[in-house]
Amino acid sequence: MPRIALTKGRLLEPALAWLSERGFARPDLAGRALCLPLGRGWEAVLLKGPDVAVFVQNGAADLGIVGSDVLEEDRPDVYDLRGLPFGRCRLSLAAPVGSEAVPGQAPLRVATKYPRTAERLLAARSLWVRLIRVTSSVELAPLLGLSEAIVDLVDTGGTLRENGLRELSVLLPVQAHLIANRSAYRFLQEPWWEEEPGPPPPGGTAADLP
Amino acid sequence: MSAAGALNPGLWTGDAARLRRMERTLLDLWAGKGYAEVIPPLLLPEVPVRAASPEALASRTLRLDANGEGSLALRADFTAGVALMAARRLERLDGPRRLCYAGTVARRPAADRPEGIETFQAGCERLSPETGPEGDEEVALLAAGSLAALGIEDAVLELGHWGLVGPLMERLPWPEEAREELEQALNRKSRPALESLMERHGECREARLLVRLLHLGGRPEAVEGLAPDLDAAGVLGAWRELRALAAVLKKAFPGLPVRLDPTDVRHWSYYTGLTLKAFSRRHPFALLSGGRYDFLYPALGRPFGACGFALYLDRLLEAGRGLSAGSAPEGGVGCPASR
Repeated sequence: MPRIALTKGRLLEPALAWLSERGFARPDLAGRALCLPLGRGWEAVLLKGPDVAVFVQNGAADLGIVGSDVLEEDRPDVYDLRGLPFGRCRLSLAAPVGSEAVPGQAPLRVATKYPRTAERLLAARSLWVRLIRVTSSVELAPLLGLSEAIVDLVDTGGTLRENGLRELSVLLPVQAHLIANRSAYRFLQEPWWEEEPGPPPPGGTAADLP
Repeated sequence: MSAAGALNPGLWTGDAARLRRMERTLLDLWAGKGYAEVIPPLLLPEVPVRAASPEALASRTLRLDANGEGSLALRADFTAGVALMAARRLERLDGPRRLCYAGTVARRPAADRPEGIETFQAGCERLSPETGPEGDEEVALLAAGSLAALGIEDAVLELGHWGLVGPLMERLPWPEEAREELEQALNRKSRPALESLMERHGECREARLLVRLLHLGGRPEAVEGLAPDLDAAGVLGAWRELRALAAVLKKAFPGLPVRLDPTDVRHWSYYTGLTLKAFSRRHPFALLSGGRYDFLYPALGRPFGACGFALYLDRLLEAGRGLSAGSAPEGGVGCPASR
């Protein structure tokens, strides 16, 4: 059965709505099941963003919906079929309100969940930085002296403000993307993902074609 | 992947027997078509190997220094090794020279590849006295025949052509720094990345055509509407070559789906004409790849043309164990699909 990996968290609800517009059923999310029937002969698996890319790259899922931040950071070997009209936010450099966040005698210490992306984007801005990789609660890093700045996803900016941080520079616009496994892509039937919302097209795989 | 984690665990009896069966099947098939086996050395001098390898592969080549005699390269693919042997032994060719091989290659592990350092390959090289597409049909038919001989019932063979995409890439009025990003965008079929490049460096006919070539759906007829644009861009000839080849393959192997996909090429600077790939829903990556690399022998001082392909035997073994692309049926290579 064709399988699409969906990112848990803020991308899940808009992803299900986008799929629903293309004739897929809304799965029951009340239980704890991570593998859910979607209708049209497809099923969905719910995963963390970086795992969506791993599952798709290695063929455990045919398609995936994941943030472009994950694609930038992990560079999975998948097809990047299209950007999707949700999950829009930005990867930004932020620092405590009132601080300059400019390197002086020493490199600027920057905490981030995206060390490779941050290294590339900050180098392009000729910033002298030392990156510190963290996996959660990045906003805490400047507050506790771990770093002078952070690079992290910013949506409304509310979390930054609540933690006394301000956005210094937008490094990268981010949105949800639809990705595909290289091999599975060949065996998927008509590209329903390119269609505009409307009546559901026939499902299935290339094997069903005459 | 750590170096230790990437070490090949070896093949135990069942897999070893399956690998040897695959090798024998292929070498016998190829011998019947006039392809003689060669065994290139495992260790090669680094400098000529670098000249004979795609840049991306050269960066994955393992090197060692043998007793201070200079840097040696461990065989990262067979094409370079075969070319170095052939260029040394053959000053000229009176007709095509057909060679084949089977064995181990070693590569630095790549972050985006699950394979270990050592993998198994078998493949063919067809050398011609001159460069040019002569022999493409024979090699494509042999690739299709190899898939059939291995019993990969759900295989899809995919054709591409540098001449369809390369001239468009070269005519783009974009800065040289954009080239790597462009190649990655094409290889990843990334419409968002191509659109971002257009936004930054300018939209033009060639760029718009590349976007349309990204997702042809594999069907030759899907591109008919593009013919006037391909003609205006001067690349219709390559498209017609591909269509003609697809028709020949379809006639010879009616059960083998043949797709046309000109953009999915990993080493753009390496291929000069036809490109080949094969996939099965039983494995998440290509099972076969190859094409025409006419720059290779001239770079080694010989005027020969060359075309060939390699099968990834580890992946075929994995496919046989049921490791699969997402929607794969149960069973392995050689087993009838369950649906």
